[in-house]
Amino acid sequence: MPSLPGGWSRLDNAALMYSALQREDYSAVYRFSAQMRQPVDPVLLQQAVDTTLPRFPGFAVRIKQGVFWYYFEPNHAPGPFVQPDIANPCQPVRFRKGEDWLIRFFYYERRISMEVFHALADGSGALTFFRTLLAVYLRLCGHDIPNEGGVLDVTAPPDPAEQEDAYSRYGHARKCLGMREPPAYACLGEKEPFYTLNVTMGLVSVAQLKAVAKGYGASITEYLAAVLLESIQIRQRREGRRKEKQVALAVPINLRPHFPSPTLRNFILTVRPVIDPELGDYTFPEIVSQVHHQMRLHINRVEMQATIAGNVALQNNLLLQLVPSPIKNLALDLSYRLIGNRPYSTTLTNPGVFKVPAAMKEHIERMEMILGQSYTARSNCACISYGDILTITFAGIVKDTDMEREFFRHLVREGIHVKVISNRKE
Amino acid sequence: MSYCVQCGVELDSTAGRCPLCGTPVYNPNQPVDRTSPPPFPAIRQEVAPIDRRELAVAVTAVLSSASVFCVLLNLILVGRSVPWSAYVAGAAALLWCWSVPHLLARRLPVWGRLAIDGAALALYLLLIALLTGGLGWYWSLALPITAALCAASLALCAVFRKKPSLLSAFMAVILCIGLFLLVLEFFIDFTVSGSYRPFWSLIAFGACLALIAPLLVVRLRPGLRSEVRRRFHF
Repeated sequence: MPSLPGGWSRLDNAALMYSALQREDYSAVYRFSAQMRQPVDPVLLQQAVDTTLPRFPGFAVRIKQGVFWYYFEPNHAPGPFVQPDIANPCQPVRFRKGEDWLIRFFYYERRISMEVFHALADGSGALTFFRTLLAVYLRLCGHDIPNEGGVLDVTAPPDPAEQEDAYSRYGHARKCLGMREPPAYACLGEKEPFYTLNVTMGLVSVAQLKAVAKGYGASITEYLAAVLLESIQIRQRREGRRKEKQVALAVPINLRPHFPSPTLRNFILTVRPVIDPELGDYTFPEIVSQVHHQMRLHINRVEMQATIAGNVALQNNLLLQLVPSPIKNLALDLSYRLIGNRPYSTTLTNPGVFKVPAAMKEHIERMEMILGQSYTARSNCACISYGDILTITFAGIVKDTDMEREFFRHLVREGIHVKVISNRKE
Repeated sequence: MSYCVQCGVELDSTAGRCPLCGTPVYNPNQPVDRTSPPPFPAIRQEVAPIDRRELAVAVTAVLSSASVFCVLLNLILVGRSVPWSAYVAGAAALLWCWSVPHLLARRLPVWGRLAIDGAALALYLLLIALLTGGLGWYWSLALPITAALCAASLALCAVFRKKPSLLSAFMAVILCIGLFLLVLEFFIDFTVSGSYRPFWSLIAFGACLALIAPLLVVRLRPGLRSEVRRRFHF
């Protein structure tokens, strides 16, 4: 929704949930990084941020607590400032510090990173911003980068349509679907000290991965989801439970291909590929097949529209609207524990291929994506590909590495070359 | 390039161990590169603790305004004979002591916090005793019980600081409750009859011991503990 008189704007459906849940030990912040070919110049990067941000007013905001809902208002504070990168990324944002920016920029050697609070935008919207920022930075470095292939013109005025609340636009259906699902295996581990995020990245060849996935008749996302489900199930089996729970993933789906919208804000839903070990022991090809068919079954326009309608109807419920925001936050927190978090073992997100104009390709080596610390002590998985490199990142506040170890060992057993890097202390 | 012999993944040239399994890297042909920058920065960003002064000011304002309002109401509407507002003001002061010092003094040790809480409670009870003319029960009953409650809380805090297992923590809580009930009956008996004749607290203490005994057996026998954990896991 474009900004209202006075410059403020309402939060969209997903943003309401993320803002209500934000707390000191949960971070709805994610990070995109670009590993460049040349070392990063922080001065030019700061200039690029200053040049790009006015074109994206939806990112230049701060969040404030109203009586009934949070809302955004333009942030006129100095910044955001480019800063040297840190070992503990994706730190939670604090709403009480009114001058806090909801986006952050970092640099380290050849890496440019951008962190975004999820209430601002989903991965697709943030990547549009990041792509444009990289283009502006490369121009400042002396390269000729055209405004094409998803790079927006930073001299043009902002397009109000980019700030539309697409959930409200498409949230109409005769029947509203809920999201009630049974609880899944929680996949919890021992917590690290306060504000520690362990990151383990695996770099794999897209061509190799695609060939292996094709051998199972699945897409790359479906194949990776199956490997992750198997890795989590191995862990659950090792715990020796008498009754094993379902193993399920939350896989965010970009809704724009199904519901055309130019919005840069949130417009995603999650699907839930799941296996139930109580039914019997799945072979790996059976898991892939299960995931493949579940995702194809549930990613359809009609079902997704009914789910959006259910979410929007809840948000528009008059009784709920009239509840003061602190109480509403508690209610949303409780509902997230029961409905939003418990039915999933972990999250797997794959924004897909990061496409850039041909003139930019040679300056970027690879892309990376990191999800912030989860609501509970577990690791999340994020993938993004650029050229022939797919980066698979596990990030979480757990000490052990069981899940990622099983995951990458499976890829190696399938003949896929994996290079692993991590920020864990040796 | 080095590979992990356990996981089969390629490792970064700066890695001394496999990040997945911790296996050390021994590659005579390519020693670990200690000069190149690692793939991730090593500098942690320390996070400042949340400033709770605003919340402390808000709590102080709410409690003090409620107290002042009640005192004025008491003076204007009812007159000075029935000082009911003193109870409200005392309760507000008690709530203030239980909240604001904890918000502001982060580094105050647990015993200090408990001492403040206990002293505030003792003072509030003293206020009630003064207003009702009951200093007798205050010295013989209220003050010793408050002190016993603080001592029990302090003992439990000391136990929990050592991060005991769920079973040990549960035993400690039950034992503390049993001991507290013994002390409680002692002071009640002493106040009422002037002599100590334990009865109901011994039954309660016996029940606590009966609960602790099987838990202690489970705690001390690893095989049994593992069996219980398997059967009762959640």
